Amino acid sequence: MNPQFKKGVLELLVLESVRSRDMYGYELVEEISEAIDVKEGTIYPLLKRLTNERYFETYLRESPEGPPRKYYHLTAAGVLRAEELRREWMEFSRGVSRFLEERNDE
Amino acid sequence: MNKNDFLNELRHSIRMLDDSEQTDIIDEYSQHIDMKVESGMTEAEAIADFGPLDELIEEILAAYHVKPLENDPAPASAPAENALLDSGKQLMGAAVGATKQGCAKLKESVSSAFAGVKEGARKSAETAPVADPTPVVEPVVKKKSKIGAALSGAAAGTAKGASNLWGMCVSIVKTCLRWCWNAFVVIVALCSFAGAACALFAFGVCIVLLFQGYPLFGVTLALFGTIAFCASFALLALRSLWLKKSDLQKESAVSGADASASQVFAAPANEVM
Repeated sequence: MNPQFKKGVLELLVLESVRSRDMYGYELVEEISEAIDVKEGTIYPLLKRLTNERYFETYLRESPEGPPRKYYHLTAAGVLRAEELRREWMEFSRGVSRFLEERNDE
Repeated sequence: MNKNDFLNELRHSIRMLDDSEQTDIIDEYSQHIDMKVESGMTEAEAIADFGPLDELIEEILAAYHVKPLENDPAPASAPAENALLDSGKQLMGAAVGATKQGCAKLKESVSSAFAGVKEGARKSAETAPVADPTPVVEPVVKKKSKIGAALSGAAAGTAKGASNLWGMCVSIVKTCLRWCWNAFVVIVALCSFAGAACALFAFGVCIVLLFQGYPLFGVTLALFGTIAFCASFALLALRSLWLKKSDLQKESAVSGADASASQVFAAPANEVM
């Protein structure tokens, strides 16, 4: 899978996943891996960056098996960013599909 | 590679970050590996899933706007099985990383100084806006202190004992001039404020009369304009107050703190990696 496609879209997927419910890192990696094949190491740096940029808030929650887990929660700024990225993606993918369809018939 | 070696190497490569951040990152990866092992993988497989280590480190550090150290000496306690292969890969990774960073060099050169890195993104957000307000305020002061500067220039050419005395005189004269100018500015501002107050009173009267049916709409608008003019003129006059250097630093520090606070909370313009 083209890594360039992945990089742009990963932020969108991460934001939209956490938007539906708070998750911890491992959970998030599992969910994203269902959609696209992603290198697991790249998720944590991305989460860090998005947290530093105040799109996420984090809190610790006790877990029955092992150490407390760090949960990610989407902030208001994060919601806006998610919607912005979703709009951009829709526009982008529609444009690309249309382009390819036109050239398919030739 | 086993879990401990991986975590040691990781910790070594992010050692320039805050201790709390280091612990945070290490804990997260450690937890991830543990959960992978629980679901049936071996440690080596879990670690392999992270991809090449130097790429991983580069991405982690990029979240803090830090460039990874080139030619980083390996940690003392890391007995890698394929030492040559690993160091070769690291050099390659460093070279690839260096070319990748070419475009972002300007942004990262601020925070890549080893000492400054300890403070992380916080410092770089603060220093940027502080640099901006000071040039705005300084030209104002520079104009006023041209007289003082000319006098100080003359003082530099005389004998030592005389120049000390002269320096004292100069500073006294500067202070007197500053006070006179400030007094003048304050008087002008007060007059403007008084004008604005009178216009406001008349404006109020006109509004009442207007509602009673008198044809005073034009007059009312004119008075409103007068209020706006007088108020803004007064504020403009106050802006040209001649401040001492210590007042300047306080003012720029306050506006710098405000600016950095608003920058931290506003949506930053960082490219998606």
